[in-house]
Amino acid sequence: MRAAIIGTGNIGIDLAEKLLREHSLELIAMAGRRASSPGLARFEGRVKYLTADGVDGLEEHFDEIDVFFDATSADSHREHWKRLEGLGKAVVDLTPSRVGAAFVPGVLDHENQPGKPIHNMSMVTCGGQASVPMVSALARHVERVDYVEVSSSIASLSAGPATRANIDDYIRATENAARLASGADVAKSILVLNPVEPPTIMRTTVHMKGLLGDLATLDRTVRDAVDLVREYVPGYRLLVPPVQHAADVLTVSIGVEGAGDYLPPYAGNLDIITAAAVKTALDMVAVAS
Amino acid sequence: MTTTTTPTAQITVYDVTLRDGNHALRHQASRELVRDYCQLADVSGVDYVEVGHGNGIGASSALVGFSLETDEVLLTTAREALTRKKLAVHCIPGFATVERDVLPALANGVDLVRIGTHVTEADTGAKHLTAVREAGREAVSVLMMSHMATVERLVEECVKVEGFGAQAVVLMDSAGHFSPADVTARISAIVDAVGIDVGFHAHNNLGVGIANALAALDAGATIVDGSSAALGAGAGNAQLECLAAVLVQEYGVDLGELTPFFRMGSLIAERAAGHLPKTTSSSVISALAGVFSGYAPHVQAIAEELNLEPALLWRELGARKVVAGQESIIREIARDLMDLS
Repeated sequence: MRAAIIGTGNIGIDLAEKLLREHSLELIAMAGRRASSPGLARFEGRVKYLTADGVDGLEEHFDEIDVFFDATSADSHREHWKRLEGLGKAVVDLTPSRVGAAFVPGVLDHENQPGKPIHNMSMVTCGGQASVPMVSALARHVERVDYVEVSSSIASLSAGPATRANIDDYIRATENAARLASGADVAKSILVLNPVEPPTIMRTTVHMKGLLGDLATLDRTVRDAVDLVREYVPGYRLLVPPVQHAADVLTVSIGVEGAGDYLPPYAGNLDIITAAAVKTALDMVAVAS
Repeated sequence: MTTTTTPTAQITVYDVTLRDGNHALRHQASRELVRDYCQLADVSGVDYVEVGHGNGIGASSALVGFSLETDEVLLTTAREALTRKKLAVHCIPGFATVERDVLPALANGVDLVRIGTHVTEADTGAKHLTAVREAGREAVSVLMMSHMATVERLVEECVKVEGFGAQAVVLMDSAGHFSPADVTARISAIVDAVGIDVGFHAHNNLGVGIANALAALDAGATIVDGSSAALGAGAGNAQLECLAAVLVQEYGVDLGELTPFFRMGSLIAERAAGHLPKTTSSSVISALAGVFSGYAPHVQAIAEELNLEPALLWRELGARKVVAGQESIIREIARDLMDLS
């Protein structure tokens, strides 16, 4: 399966490094918006087609591309989708646009998300990828979920300009996924950027409110779910196992350290969304073959 | 006092009692308190009354605490009681979104929105500032935890928010870490660099809240935050009754009668009895560690639950340079400390 990446910022670069290691996926094209983009220079000689003209610059190669990865911004993705929708090819969206169904490997896919275009897979957000496996594991075993909350802190240096300018897109996409994974009527998401030097890893905390049930069962469930994520994000780990606060509130905290493919290991937020995108594409290859 | 009196002084007095004070109340301010307080503030010399959850609109959460009342109830109650004074809210991007929180607040009659970001992350608030300006309301930028940036970086961020369209910039000493000389250095540098109004928001952890507020005014700030009975996070804010008295007596600011300020102070002293902030050893330790004052009840609760010395937690939180909104890390740190010991 041949792939193209749109966007040569932090996420595009990290994703490209991962795709170049895969045997069942061939990264053949990358599109940026500036000829001077360091992202394009980095892949000179490593990726067949490089263009600074965005999606336009890929048009002549559309026939050769089986899957598009969009690593730009939510607004840009909405524009890109207008161009790509008619091609009938797979599009993996790493922006928080919510154009496609929210995808979290092994947890969320097109099921239960009616009305979403079948070829568009939305990778939600870094906070969504980190929290949804926990939210889903907890929701399967508590007796009733009234409210779910996911708060994340990430290193300032790992948040690119698109994230900074559109923090509301992040919040909405993360809340949408948390709601889908929990069945709660109300979901809340919080994002904090921390500029500490040296930069710190990504941390995500899930608060769940409802009728909780047996804590020991929840503890086992959460640990199993952590192991599943670790298969594609080795730096994913449990920081605080399920703790009950009040009679009806429990908390789990997760830490995400990155693989250091592009930004250093503190940027777990980058790693988890690009790793999830690769995993989603590989799952597609597995189904196709 | 040795300050020079400038009789023409145009100082904006910004009342944070019903917002920062909500930290001290664990976000349990009731509509009755908001109504009664706003009725008194309406005939006082304050210019703005800020209302809401301690962390601002859209911040009610398990992480920092659920509000007793919804933003809508708090704001419509305040709006009804405030016929002369302007109604303001605090808004932290990352907690609050434009669509879900800012626009409804404006629809409920809010005159001014303060967009609060961590001191080095002002660009995350550009969209929120724009939305408020486009609605024709006042948009002010707040740099929280301002002790965590160098003077140079602080000035850089202030210039940035002026470019985003902020009509004023307010420095928050969220950890109560500054001494008057720190405030003088920062406010002077900012006033020299920007063309918009500059404000200061003190916390009293080191017992110098009023002194810091006055240092800011002397250095050229024209907006000053205060809170009745000092009700606020940590050791509270610059106490409004004291601040008003000094502004009238020493700075020649026309605040009208002081009686309404005393009534506001007494109302809070009565209704918030048991929650009034005090400068304690713990608040001094947290200020020295440079940790957000809003962490105090969370640190206290976890220290009690796990039988840990709060000072150990404060020092470790300080060493990790945590910012507002990372309250869930307290439990992680507590567990680390326990495994070590």
